[in-house]
Formats: sequence, C-alpha cells, structure tokens
Amino acid sequence: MNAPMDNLRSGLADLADDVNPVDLRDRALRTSHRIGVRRTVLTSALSLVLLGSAGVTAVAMTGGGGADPDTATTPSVSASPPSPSASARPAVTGDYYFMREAGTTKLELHVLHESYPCGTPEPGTCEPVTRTEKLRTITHPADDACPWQTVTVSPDGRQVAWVVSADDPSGASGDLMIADVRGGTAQKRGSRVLCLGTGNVVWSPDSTRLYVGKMDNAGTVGVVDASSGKFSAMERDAWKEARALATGPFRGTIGEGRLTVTKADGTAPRSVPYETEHGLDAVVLGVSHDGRYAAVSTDAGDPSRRLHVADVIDMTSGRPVTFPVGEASSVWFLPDGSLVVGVSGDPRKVYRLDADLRVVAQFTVDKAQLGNRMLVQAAFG
Amino acid sequence: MVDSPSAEFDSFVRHRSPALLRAAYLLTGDQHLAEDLVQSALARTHRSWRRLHDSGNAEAYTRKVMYHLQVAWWRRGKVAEVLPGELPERGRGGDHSSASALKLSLRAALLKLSDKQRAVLVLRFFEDRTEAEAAEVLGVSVGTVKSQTAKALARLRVIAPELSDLHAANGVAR
Repeated sequence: MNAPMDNLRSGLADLADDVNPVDLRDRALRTSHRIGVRRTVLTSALSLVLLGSAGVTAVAMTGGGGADPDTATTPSVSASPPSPSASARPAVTGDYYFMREAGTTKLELHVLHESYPCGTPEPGTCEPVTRTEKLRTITHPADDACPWQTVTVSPDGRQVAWVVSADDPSGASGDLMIADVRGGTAQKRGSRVLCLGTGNVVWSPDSTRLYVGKMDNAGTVGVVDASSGKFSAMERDAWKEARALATGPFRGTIGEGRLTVTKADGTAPRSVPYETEHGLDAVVLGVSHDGRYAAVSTDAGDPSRRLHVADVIDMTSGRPVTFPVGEASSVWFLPDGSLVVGVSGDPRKVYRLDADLRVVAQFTVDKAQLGNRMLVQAAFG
Repeated sequence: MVDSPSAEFDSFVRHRSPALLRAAYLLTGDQHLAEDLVQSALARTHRSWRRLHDSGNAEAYTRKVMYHLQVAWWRRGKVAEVLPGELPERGRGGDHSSASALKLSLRAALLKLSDKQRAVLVLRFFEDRTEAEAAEVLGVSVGTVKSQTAKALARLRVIAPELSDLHAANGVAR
C-alpha cells in the first residue's frame, strides 16, 4: 500500500507536465549515426587519448618541471608559419594505435610505429620511418559499444584492456578484459566497470594496474591489478589524482562555463571562461606537462568516448592556440614541451612541433594499410 | 503490410518520447537536459533496434539506458546542475498554497537530492515501480533502493518542509 505517498505521486505528475513534448526522432538518429561513424570511419582527424607512459607522459616538462599554471610566465602563442627547426628535440619514437570495426562482433587493432634513423628528427635530413603492424582482434557481443569505448593499450605496449558490456543491457558497464596485445585468450579482470565516456579505463604508467569506476550505488572508484584482477577501492580524490598522474602532472575539467586546470592533486587551479559550441558536455582530453595548454574535446550530447579535439586553449590567455599546420583535430603533449598534432584538413598527416610550435617533422598515414581505421591512442618514447 | 524497421523505430519514438521526456524532466529538472537524455537513450535504442524490437523490450531498454546515462553523467560531473530559480516565498497566503508554488518547490527540492535519490523517487513514485523493479532498473540491490528512498524522503522534509503534505509518510514497500 502506497496511499500515504499519493500526494507525492500527484506532485511529481504535475511537475512532469511542465516538460514540452518535442520530436526527437531526427536528433536520435543523428546521435545514433554519430556513434556509428565514430566506430567505423577513418579517422577524419588524428585522435587523442593520452596514454600514461612512464618516461613520457608522466614526466615533467623539461627545463622547468610542472610549473604552477597560476604563476607560469610563458611567451605568447603567436604561431609562426611552418618552418623546420634544428634546435627541436622531440621524442624520437611514436606508437599510434588504430582500430577498425570488422562486422558487428570484432574490432581489429593495428599499430603504426614511427622512428627516426638518426635518433631525433632533423628537418630536411632525418625523415621519420614508419611501419605498420596488425595486432590482435577483439571479439565481443553484437551491438556492444563498450569495447570500442574502452580499448586501451598499456604504456609498455604489451597488453590491451577493454570492457565488454556482458549482462548490462544499458551498455554502461561490463566486464574488464585484458589480453596480450598480439593475440591469445583474454582474461576477465573485473566486473561492472563503467565504459561510457572518455578515460574510463586508464593504465598506470608501469602497466600493472588500471584505474576504473564501478557501476554501483556508491559510485565506487579504484584500481584493478592487471595480473590478478584484484580490485582495490580508493577514495575519490586520491583516485582522481592517481589517474591524472598516469597521464601527466596536470588535469583539467569543464563546467559552469569555465575550463579549469589544476595540478593532479587538485591544487593550484587556473580557470578561464569556456563554452562549448552547443553548450553540451565536453571533456579535457589532455593538459600539457607545464599546465599551460589544455586540449578540449568536441561536444556531443552523449557520453561516447571523445576523441577529437575542438580547441587547444592557452590557459595564460584563455584564447585558442593557432597552429601553423592548420586546425588541430588531435594533439598529444610530450614531456619536453613538444607536441604531436593531427589536423582536420588532411586527416592522414601527422606533424611533430617543437615547444615553439614550429614543425620539425611530419609523416603521412598510409591509406592502403590503415585506411578506414580510426586512431584511438598514441604513446611516445 | 509489415512496417520496415525504420518506420517501426519512428513510430516508437513518436509514441513513447512524451512519456520518456516526462521522466527525464524529473531526473534533470531542465527541458534541454531532458531532451538530451532522451535523445541519447533513443540513439542507443536505435543502434540495437532490430534485437530490441524482436524481443519486445525496446521501451524497457530505453528507460534503463536513460537512468544509467543520467547516473553516469552525474558521476562524471559532465552535466552541470541546473539550479532552479528562486524558491517561492513561504507564508504569503494564497501563493504558498498554489499548485504552481508547490511545483516550483518540488522541482527545487528534487534538484537538491543526489542523483540516486532523485532516481529512486522518480521510479517509485512517478513510474510507480516496485522496489524490486526500481532496483533492477538502476542495477542496485533492493536494500539500496529502500535506503535511498528513505534518505530522499527524509531530505525532502528538511529542505522543503513546505511540501510536507506531499510526503506525509514514508512509502510502504510493495
């Protein structure tokens, strides 16, 4: 018997009457299409998911460490036209992971290795050498969006983790699977792991643990041991800090019309006004190792994995950074201050820029080998 | 004549969107956020339409996705809470007793609850689900639904005493 609550029932019903009915058919189809496109179309722009990598992304910026963004004094970002720079010393190798949906139950994982015969990029004299390699195939139930949302290669490049939605019909969470990146049987290493959104599965820099959130009433977060599957719950602030440190010394958030960058532990906030184009949710995909630049995703209105960069904001001015190679659609920040950038105008081109945003190297993704595949992650050494 | 899957999905959206929007509005407290929530849930339904339609579970699936998305969005802090305008003033004769004032108070009070508390109230007292059904939709235990319901009602009494006639007693389990 619920009679005593009938007034609450009628109150809720009256309140629900305030919503205006709208035709959502076209919007739902567009969102559905967008989800599908994300899974199948060639990277129209090289995408970004920062990979926590020991010696790479978890190391402070050369020549100054993790400068406090509140006090950093850095030169303005008036980007110069593309011109080689002999002084740049960006990282000398890169691994770019591509995925392709093969039918409704398989994902193919590929990698493109980038290296420089002379050790470092030397514009005009030391061009990058690239080679591609097919890694494993990931099988999953039909129409399961979780794997695409979560496939993440470990920083050492040996293991890959993903979530399969298992018995959660909402597709919002599932079993955490880990496997050798080159094949073999996947092992279940967790359950009810959240899979929607960006960065729900983050490897620790030493490739032994993964930071995840759980779909439960308490909003549990914690870390999973990759070998045993043992889950250890963490206090949320400590978890946020540890997860942020896996990708760099700073982290960023967007909310209430502001973009805020803090140190990984949440201290030293610096905030600038920022509104997404449609007022929908966007996420900070990466922050440079000195905290000066923040790469912000495109907004969408659904909690799919964000890959494309809408803006790179200079936190010292609040203004978008203009790159000499065109409009950036993907950006990776390296510890030495250099960047790797993909552009929307030519999605197969990858540029290496030095800390002054000058081009020091570039290569083109081979369409025959990696066409119709989406770049979902990169790691640098 | 057998309708195409596309036509069947269109019909499903046309007929069920109004009801979905009502629940989404109670969950979000905002017209636009409610539209975004239903749109996202419908998009996922569309991705699995053939399977869902064959099994006859399309609406149940859409509602479940909607609740889970709402929880996920809040958990990730990606949806800014839209706080209502000023609360209606209390103790001003007819204003306070008017239905519109009570509605505003209820809306404001709902937005002060946690996402889980709001979800259980909507499931239990708007959708009229049993505790077991609410637990199934949210993917939590019946005990959690019981405790969250009790906490939500208790909090309503504190933050919106003017609604006392709406929540005169705790719900009785079904």
